[in-house]
Amino acid sequence: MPDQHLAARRLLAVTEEELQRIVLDVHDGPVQNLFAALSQLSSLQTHLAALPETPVECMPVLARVIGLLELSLNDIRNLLGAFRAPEFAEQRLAEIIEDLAVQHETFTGGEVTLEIIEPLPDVPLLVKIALYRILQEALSNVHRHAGVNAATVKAWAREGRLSVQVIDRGRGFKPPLLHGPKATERHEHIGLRGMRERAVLINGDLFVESRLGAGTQVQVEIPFQ
Amino acid sequence: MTETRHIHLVLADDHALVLEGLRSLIAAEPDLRIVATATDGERLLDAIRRFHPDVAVLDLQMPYMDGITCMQHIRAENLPVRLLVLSAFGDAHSMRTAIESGADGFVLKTDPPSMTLTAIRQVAAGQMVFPQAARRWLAPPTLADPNRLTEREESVLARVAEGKSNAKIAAELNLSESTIKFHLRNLFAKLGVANRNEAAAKYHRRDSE
Repeated sequence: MPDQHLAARRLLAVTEEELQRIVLDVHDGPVQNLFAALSQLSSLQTHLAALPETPVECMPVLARVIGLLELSLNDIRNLLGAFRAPEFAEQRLAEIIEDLAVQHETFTGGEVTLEIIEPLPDVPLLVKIALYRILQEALSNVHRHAGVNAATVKAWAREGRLSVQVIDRGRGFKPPLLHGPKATERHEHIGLRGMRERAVLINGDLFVESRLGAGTQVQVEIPFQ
Repeated sequence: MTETRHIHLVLADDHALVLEGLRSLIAAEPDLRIVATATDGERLLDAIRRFHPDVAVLDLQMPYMDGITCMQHIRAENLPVRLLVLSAFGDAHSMRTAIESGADGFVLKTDPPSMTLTAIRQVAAGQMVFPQAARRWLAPPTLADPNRLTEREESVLARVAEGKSNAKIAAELNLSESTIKFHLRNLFAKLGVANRNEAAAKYHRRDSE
């Protein structure tokens, strides 16, 4: 393996560790404090509403503050979604994909249909993590950009290649070039480039097919032994 | 007029500010009454034995004894309390393990606190309160096959079969040794074996089938 590729894989592992640390810090600090603050404010709201003479300008302001804090917590929830339980390393790939689908449905209220043809191969932890992050980003893209609430995830292994697809029937887009000297550098394509780079680092590849009005299909392919 | 019976609650969370917030939130609800609070799983278990609450609201991450282990003890002792998990992590693994360990509900700290109040009343009334996506696990495997091992018990068994000590297994799974012993007791009973050697033998036999 070339030195540069090895260094990039190490960097991937370090990035992952840092991400987990950030998630845990956010979980232990801001999330607990925001929930505690919201609880206190909700209690205050109930008390004020029961007073015989509540200052008229008070309640809408309080409701607005509560709404903003709820919005912040909801935004943070997506970051917490990057958390991986300690048991992740031992889980089978099919379980990991199912868990990700459940988490996505819990956080977004969307629906993920799974079509997994078992057995899927047992792959190294770094490959599992990379696949997990690619699928997470792909599902998140469906939720944020496709304008639909449903996605299908397919996974199968054939002739030494593991393939995982995320498909939606949403609004679609014109896919940018993701590799080579003319690869997109645009800010809105960072997520897509990150997905492809992760795939390449585990010796795989990523393909995006999409047409306006016809939905999007993201496919990652990885060789395995 | 008959007096309305309060729903008696025990709250457990290792974040003091969360407990303070919940106390304040619940104090404004006339049908709910907090009978005790705890900052770790061991104290929660103790409080449930002493105060016989209707509902325990608990976090999963707690020192000394985590929420999952605590729920397993509560269910093993048949303590008549409804269990509502209040967690910031809504990952599938946490929800599935909570269901396997006997939780009656799972609410998120990233949702408005009013949802926690609603869930407390729902679990007190005997409902199972879980995010829609987690309901696929609600038909507990223990009903179909009481001897089926939980995911955690499987992890412990696999390590026992590799000849690892309790201390080593505890370190690998980020659990305490007493929790590992608890899982061992349960899995020995389910497998119908008397010790770790017999459990390991059963594991290898099963694996080769």
